[in-house]
Amino acid sequence: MRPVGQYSVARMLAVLMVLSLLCFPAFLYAQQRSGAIYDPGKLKPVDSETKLKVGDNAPDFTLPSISGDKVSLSQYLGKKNVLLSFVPAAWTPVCSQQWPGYNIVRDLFDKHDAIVLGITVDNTPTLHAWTQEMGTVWFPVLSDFWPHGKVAGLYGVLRSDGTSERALFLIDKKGVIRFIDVHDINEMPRLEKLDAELRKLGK
Amino acid sequence: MGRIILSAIAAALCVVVSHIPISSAASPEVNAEILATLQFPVPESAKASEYLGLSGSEPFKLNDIKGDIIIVEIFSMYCPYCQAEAPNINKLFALIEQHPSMKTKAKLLGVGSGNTAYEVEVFRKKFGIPFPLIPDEKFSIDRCSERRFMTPTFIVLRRDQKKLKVLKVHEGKIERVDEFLESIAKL
Repeated sequence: MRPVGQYSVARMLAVLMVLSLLCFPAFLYAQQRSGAIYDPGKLKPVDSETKLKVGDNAPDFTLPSISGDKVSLSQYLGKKNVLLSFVPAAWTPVCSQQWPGYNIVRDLFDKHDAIVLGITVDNTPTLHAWTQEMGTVWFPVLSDFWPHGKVAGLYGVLRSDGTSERALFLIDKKGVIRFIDVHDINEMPRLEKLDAELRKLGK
Repeated sequence: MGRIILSAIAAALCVVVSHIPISSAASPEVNAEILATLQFPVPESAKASEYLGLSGSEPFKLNDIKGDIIIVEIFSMYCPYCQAEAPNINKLFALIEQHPSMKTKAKLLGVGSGNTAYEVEVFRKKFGIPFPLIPDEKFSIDRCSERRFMTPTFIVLRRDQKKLKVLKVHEGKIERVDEFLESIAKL
């Protein structure tokens, strides 16, 4: 009798395991919606110093995007105005909201013939998972993971802990920097300010 | 044999415990007295002010709203969950306006947590929001809670002898707005 009993216990365990696996995706989803954002607390507002200034030529770079291709800043020369949006890291509070904000104002960027390039120092899989949480993101999201923070360093916005600043660089079609905002990392750059700067670009 | 049964029980317990959804964690307590002291800017449109029964251009308190039931949605233009939930809340508003007992007494108001007037307007236009939305750039709404509200959060208030009482706090999206409305109507 004992082997039979053991068998049914094992079978019960197996059923439980299968049930557990079946339920798991739903559980994971619930967790992401409420608990996946890491709160680092209040951070030093700015922890780097950019040498770039308005009127400078924007340094060119090439980075892998989450869609699998590589994106270079120079490919937009003569074609599009570019907003470089550096955010400190995936899965952190304000960043988890800044890009979803840009995501619903594509018409604003289209109106000014502009594109957003979102950049963080995270690796591509992390960026992929994180932006999935935002719904479909219409602009390229680029990984500045390796060599770590090279582009952030080039723009002078790499912080001492290896994350980047929350920084905006607006670059016109000639490749000239027209607006720089190395923002307090804890706060959201206001959308109306960006709108005003886009208007200044002209067509 | 006993050990095997014990392990089975332990495994079963693990399964049960691990599937208690985190999203059903308790919504934050709302202090109705603090909430009643908060001042908000009047909505920019006359239609929105009329809906809420507000007059003048001075900042208002929730108690100034002419309605026995007030549903406050705390949202952010920047929040992807609020964006995804927007059509559902538009549906909630439509249901309220058709509801036999709720249409005359319930008012729905969106508070844009951490949003400027410009950002709230972007959200309103993008999702065609038919009910009033007001900005709360300094997160003042969070003062009535033990912790920062996650977005979206819904606070349902009822007027009780001139004071507003908290009937319900719901954090996260509302799966079924019809059931949500009926649950309020029954309270």
